[in-house]
Amino acid sequence: MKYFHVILIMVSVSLPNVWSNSVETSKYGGTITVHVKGMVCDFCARGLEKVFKSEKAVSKIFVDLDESIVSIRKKPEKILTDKRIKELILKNGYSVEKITRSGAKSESKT
Amino acid sequence: MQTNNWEKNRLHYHYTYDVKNSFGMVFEYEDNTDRQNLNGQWNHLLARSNNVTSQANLYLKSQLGIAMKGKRYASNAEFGVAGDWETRKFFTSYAATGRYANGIDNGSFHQKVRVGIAPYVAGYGEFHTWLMLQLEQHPESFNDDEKVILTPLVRLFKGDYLVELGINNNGGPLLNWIARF
Repeated sequence: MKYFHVILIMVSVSLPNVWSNSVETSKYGGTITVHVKGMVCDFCARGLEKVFKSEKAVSKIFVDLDESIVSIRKKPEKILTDKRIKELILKNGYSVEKITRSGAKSESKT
Repeated sequence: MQTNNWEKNRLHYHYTYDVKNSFGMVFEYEDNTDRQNLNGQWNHLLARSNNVTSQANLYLKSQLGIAMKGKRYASNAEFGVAGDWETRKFFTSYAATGRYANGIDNGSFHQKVRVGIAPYVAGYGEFHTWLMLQLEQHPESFNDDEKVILTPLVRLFKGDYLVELGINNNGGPLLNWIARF
């Protein structure tokens, strides 16, 4: 019984990490939507597009100034973590409000 | 980047090292005084405020190099602060600059403020238009007409190319362009 409790605790602690990795290392594509603060100038946002296009995990990028979002289409089999996205956004002088991911689940059925 | 106005023609090559620092070389030719400046430039972002619908910046700008006037050469230094605040519809900026070239001038100061409005809000990658009003003050200018200069201008840009066209209250033209690589 003592060992059962230890195993239960270990499984509980590791579950969030397993779930997190399954999202970030998904072998499927999917769209990542980044809500960006400070992105008000088209001319200034060109740098953001260039940086993401040179990122190996990125297939396509769409900048929407009206909604202040950057939509990133990730390449299948590639990893693009939230941490890396935040680094790239900060590198261009903007701030990240939130990051949402979609599409990977539906693609996994194909 | 190239700027041409009533005061000077300026060619500027600029490299953005990181989000807080950029370095460049500036060559200037001043028509009225037949003076040339060749400076290295360092721009430093002191502070930035990012909001959902606006951005504000505060920069420290410095230049060091040589000034040439006729057969005279001198070390040249320029220091300034610049700030801006913009939304997708409104723009405002302020810059104050002081400079000194030993043996060529006794030091000078000028400041510039700009306000602008976009007549329409264009999407990313579309053709953007801004209508702006620029007010400059050059207190040390010998010519009274040049102590305060008002320049209405239009800023146009699309993609990596930006151009500004204007005419000041003395009839002097303004032509600036920026190409981003």
